[in-house]
Amino acid sequence: MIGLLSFAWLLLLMAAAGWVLATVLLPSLIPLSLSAQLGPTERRRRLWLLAALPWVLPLTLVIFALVLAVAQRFGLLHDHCPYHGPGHPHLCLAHLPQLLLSYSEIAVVALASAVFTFRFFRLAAEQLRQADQIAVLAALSRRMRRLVLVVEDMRVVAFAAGVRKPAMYLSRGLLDQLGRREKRIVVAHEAAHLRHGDLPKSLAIEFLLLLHLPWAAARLRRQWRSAIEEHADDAVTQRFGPTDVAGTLLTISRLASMNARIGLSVAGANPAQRIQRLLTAPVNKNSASFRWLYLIALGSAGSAVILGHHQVETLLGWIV
Amino acid sequence: MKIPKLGDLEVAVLDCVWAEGSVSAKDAHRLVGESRGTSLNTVQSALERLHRKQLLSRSKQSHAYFYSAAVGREQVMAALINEVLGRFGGDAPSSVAAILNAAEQLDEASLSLLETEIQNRRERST
Repeated sequence: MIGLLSFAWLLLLMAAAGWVLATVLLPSLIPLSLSAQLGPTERRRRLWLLAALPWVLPLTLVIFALVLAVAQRFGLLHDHCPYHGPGHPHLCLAHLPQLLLSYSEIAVVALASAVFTFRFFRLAAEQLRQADQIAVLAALSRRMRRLVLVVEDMRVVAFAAGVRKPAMYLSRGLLDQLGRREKRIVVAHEAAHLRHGDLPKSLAIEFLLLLHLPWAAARLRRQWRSAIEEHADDAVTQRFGPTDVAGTLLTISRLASMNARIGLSVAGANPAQRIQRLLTAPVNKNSASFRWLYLIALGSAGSAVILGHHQVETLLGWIV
Repeated sequence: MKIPKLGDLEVAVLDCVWAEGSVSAKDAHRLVGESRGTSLNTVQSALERLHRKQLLSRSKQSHAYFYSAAVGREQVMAALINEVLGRFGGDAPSSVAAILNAAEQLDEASLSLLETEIQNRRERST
C-alpha cells in the first residue's frame, strides 16, 4: 500500500513539474502564438491548445511515466532497479518506491488541492447563478422567434446567452433605434455565436483556465472573447459585406457610449479593432504548424521522461 | 439593485402582478396557478417569498392581503442585464457573448474617423 502511495506521490510530483513548466512557458508562448495576422478561426484553435497546456503537459508526463512503469513491470525494458540504492525512487511497478512523506509535503498538496477545489466550486457557483439569472430573463422576455427574445430595456443591448438553452436577447432600445438591415446584421451576428457553439465553448475555456495563473487567464480570456466576436463578424460579413457590418458596429458603439453614461457595461471585444479589421480586409492567416509543433513538443517532453527516466528519478529523489 | 434567485412560479407570479397591478392570492392562483395545476397554498407561498425578497409590497384589505409590485419590470430587467453582462466587461469568467464592449469606449475622434471611412466606402461602391 505504501509502495503504491509512494508511486502516486512521484506521479503527482511529475504532474506538478509539468504544471510549473507550462506556467513558465506561457508568458512567452501567448504573444508568440497569437499574432494579429492570424484569423479568428486559427486564433481560437491556438487558444484551446494554450488554455489546455497546464492540463495536457502534466498529463503527458504522467502517462509517459506510467507507460515506462508498465513496460518495466512486464519485462519490456531492462530492469535496472536492483543496481540502485534503497533510497532511489523508482518509476517502476515491479519495485515500488517506499517513501516517507513529511507533514510539510502533505500540507503543500492539501493546500494546492484546496485552492483548486475552491476555484472550481466558485466558478461552478458563478455559472449556476448566471444560468438562473438568464432563465429569469428568458421567462420575462417576449419570444419573437424560437431563438430570439426581446427584453424590455431601452438601452442598446444584444447578446447570446444560455448554455443549456442558448438564445439571443435583443433589447427594445436596440430594435427601436437600429434600421432594418442593421437589426438583421445584429441577429445574424448573435446567430453565428449560437451556430459556432461559442457559449458552451466559452464555459469549457473557463474551466481550462482554472489551472492558469490569474494574469495568464485574463490574457487568454480577452483573446478568446476577441476571437469569438471576430469569428461571428466574419460569418456576418459573408452575407452583408464588411462595410455594412462595420457600419452597424459603429452605430451600436455610438449608442452604447450613451448607455455607458447611465451605467451599463455591455460586453464584447474591442470595437475599434474590430471595425478597423473589417475595413482593412483582414489577412486571416491560417497555419497548422502550431498544432504540429505543440504535439511534437508534448511528445518530446514525454519521450524525455522515458529516455531520461534515470535522471528524472534522481531529480525526484532530490525533491522527496 | 441585486435580483435574488427566483423560481419559475415566482417569475410567473411577478409577471402576473406587473400585468394586473394588484392581486390577492386567489387572483394570482386563478391567473397563474390553475393553468399550472398549482394549489392556492403554493401560490400564496410564492407571493409571500416575493414579498420577503422585497419585490412585492402588500396591504391588507378586510381579511385578505393584496400584493402589488415594489419594483418595476424595467428595473428588474435592467438589473438582470447588468448582472448577466456586467461581469463580461472585465476579467471575470462568463459564458455570455455580447456584440460590443461599451467598457472599452471609442472616443469621438475615432468614431468620426471610422464613420468617414465607412461613408467613403459606401460612396465608392455606389
